[in-house]
Amino acid sequence: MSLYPERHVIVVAASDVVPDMPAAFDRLAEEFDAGLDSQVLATGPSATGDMGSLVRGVHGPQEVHVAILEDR
Amino acid sequence: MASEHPASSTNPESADPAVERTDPEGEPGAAADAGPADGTRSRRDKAAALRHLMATEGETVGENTRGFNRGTDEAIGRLSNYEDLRKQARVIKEDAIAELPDLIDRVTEAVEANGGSVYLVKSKSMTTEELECNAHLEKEGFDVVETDLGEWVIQIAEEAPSHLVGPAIHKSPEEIATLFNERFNPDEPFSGDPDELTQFARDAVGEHIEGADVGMTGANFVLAESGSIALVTNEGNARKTAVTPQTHIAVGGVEKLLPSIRELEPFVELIGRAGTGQDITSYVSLLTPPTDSPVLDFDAPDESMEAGDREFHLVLVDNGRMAMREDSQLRETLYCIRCGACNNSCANFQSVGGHGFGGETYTGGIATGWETGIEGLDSAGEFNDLCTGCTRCVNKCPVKIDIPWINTVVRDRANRGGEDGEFSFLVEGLTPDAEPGGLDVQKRLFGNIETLAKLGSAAAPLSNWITGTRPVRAVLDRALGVDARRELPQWRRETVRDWAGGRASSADADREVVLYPDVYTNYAHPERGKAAVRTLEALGVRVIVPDVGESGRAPLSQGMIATADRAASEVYAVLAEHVDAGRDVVVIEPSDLAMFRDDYEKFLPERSFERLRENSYEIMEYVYGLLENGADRDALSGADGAGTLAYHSHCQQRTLGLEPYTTAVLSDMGYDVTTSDVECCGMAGSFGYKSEYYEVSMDVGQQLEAQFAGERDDGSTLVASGTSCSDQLEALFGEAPPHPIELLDPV
Repeated sequence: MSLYPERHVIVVAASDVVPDMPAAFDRLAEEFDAGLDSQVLATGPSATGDMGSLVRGVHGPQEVHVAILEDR
Repeated sequence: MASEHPASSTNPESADPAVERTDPEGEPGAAADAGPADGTRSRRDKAAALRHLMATEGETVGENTRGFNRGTDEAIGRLSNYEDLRKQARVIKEDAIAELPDLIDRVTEAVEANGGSVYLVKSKSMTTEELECNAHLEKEGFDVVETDLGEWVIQIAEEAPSHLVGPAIHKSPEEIATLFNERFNPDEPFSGDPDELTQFARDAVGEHIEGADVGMTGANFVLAESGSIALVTNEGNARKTAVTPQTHIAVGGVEKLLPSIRELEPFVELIGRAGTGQDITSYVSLLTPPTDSPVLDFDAPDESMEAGDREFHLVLVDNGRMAMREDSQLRETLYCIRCGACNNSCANFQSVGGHGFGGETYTGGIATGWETGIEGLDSAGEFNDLCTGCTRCVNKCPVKIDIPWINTVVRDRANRGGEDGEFSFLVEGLTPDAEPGGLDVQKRLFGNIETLAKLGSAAAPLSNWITGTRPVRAVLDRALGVDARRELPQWRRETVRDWAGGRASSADADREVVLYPDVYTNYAHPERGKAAVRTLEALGVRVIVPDVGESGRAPLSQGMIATADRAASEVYAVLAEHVDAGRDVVVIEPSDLAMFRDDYEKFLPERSFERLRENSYEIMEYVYGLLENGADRDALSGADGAGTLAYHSHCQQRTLGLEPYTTAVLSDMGYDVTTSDVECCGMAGSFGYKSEYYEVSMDVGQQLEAQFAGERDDGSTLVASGTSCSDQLEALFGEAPPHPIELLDPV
């Protein structure tokens, strides 16, 4: 599960990158219809402001790296 | 849950510590003495409680909320379709609440088909369970641990949350360090470094999650079609709690239901921006449990895992909500997505926090709706007066809830539930209002300010001398709750109407307008009215100052809705004839213009409201229009340009988007204009006069003072559009700033 390690490396096909939120939701709706109805929108390291200032790395990873593969 | 093992509880961190919050409520903590008490508490006790909160929590709350508020301004500024998204979100919520029974049936079917169970908690007797889930579970022998770090902090401190999305927003890192040092007695004491505190909390809470048998979460949204829940967090605690233990219980109010994934988008776009100023939170988890993913065994991480025998229980809480749905005034409270924007954008909240401006469970302006619907009027009545109706939350609410109106309605209901006051006789006869006998004398006094102004003006200056004496001020303070530390308005014998009636109007004007003589301009600050008349005349406009009453703003602000409604009809009757004659209505006092442009929608037939709204203008807005249409600016004073101004716009004027007209005209006339960006001056009509709120009012005012102190030292002239703001600036700086129109006055 992507929450336990301190570093999360995401490998994405360039063809899976969508331009904006409406496009992302169109795709989510299609996938929900196909029964893939547990999905996570993860946008960066887990973070909190609860201890007085922004701290990265709480219950989820401290670092997130995204590798985009273009040759598919 | 037949287990003595730890359960783990969570709450979607950035959006919903309210219904789903499962921390122990109402335990005595540091702030408990400042929380709501019984309704008979005197004004003095209330002032003391608020003073204590401002001293102990105000600074930290202020820093944090103002930080969020600036962030949301920026995030909203980056979003080109903010208004469209708000409209979409609003319509989706309106429809969802309208078809709620059907959505409940659909989600039940979907979750059961997925292999989970749904429970609809209806009974009013479940109130305490809703709010005191942790306490109840602990009594049954469960070990309950909050997983959101802010929730965890207040669980340890045994305090109530002070904010809708930042439950521990009132605690500084140093205070959290002290709390941890006392509770955990570490070898090396914590110093207050946020990184160190977070690391410690993460590890401590993480252990509990790994060992928990049951994970309990809230749900920011529940999708009926697929039986899914959406969890919006930054920490990642909610998903971890949901999917790590074998059993997941999600608890959410019935109002969280949306039809399907298709309706979720605008909310995901809005919730982070409105709440914390994030374009999107770190995680938006869409979960459709129970899944067949394996359950991790942390004691044997290398053993091969099999598909887990997972359980999911969805608890939908009614607890007053279905009744709120039937209440035409409280209904829109159910559209609330708990983003916290109304907490952060509220000047009074920034000063006192949610321990002052909040009830049993909820905090801030929207709390009035929630507490009335779920806890009852008594809870809401304790803090509802902290909403001054300034409207600064209105444009910030992502689902367009009219939060000031909800506060006004609840105030009206509370007024009607009151008892006859001890000092009622003092204001009898002053009060030609339409309110019940039990109305609080202080509210009745301020709601009928026009009567007082008339009497004061007729007897001026004697009336000012009498009310200025110490014994009279003492009586006013004790009996009527008018704080003796405030300067009272100085009523003037000659009103604007008297003055305008006795002078020749310019005969060869191109157009005619009516200048609305609001109570403060007419009876206390006629110089503003005279400047407006002369300026308009210099720009080729003939001005009529009609004999028309108070707009209803004063009674409305006290929750005296019937009286405000009557005033609206009377004012409209006078102004309609002028509008029909082709005259525009020009208004000096922004709070009265806001009545014509906004609040009258509640009181007048739609056509009447639209007619007055379309033909009403703020004075500087009108001057701007005249100048844009070729009026001669050389006819005005100040056209040569003269110095620098520090301008404080009025809260309702800003909400209506009217501040730029004033700054544009003043800049055009050659002034160098600096503007304030505080949400409110603190005075807010009668609020700053009230004994129990005087100190909050001055605390709010200090933000404005800090902004303008430098400008003042550099020789800038202070300028303000609202009477209240002007009075407050006078209290802060020692001299009354003029209205912008006075700078243009050709005389």
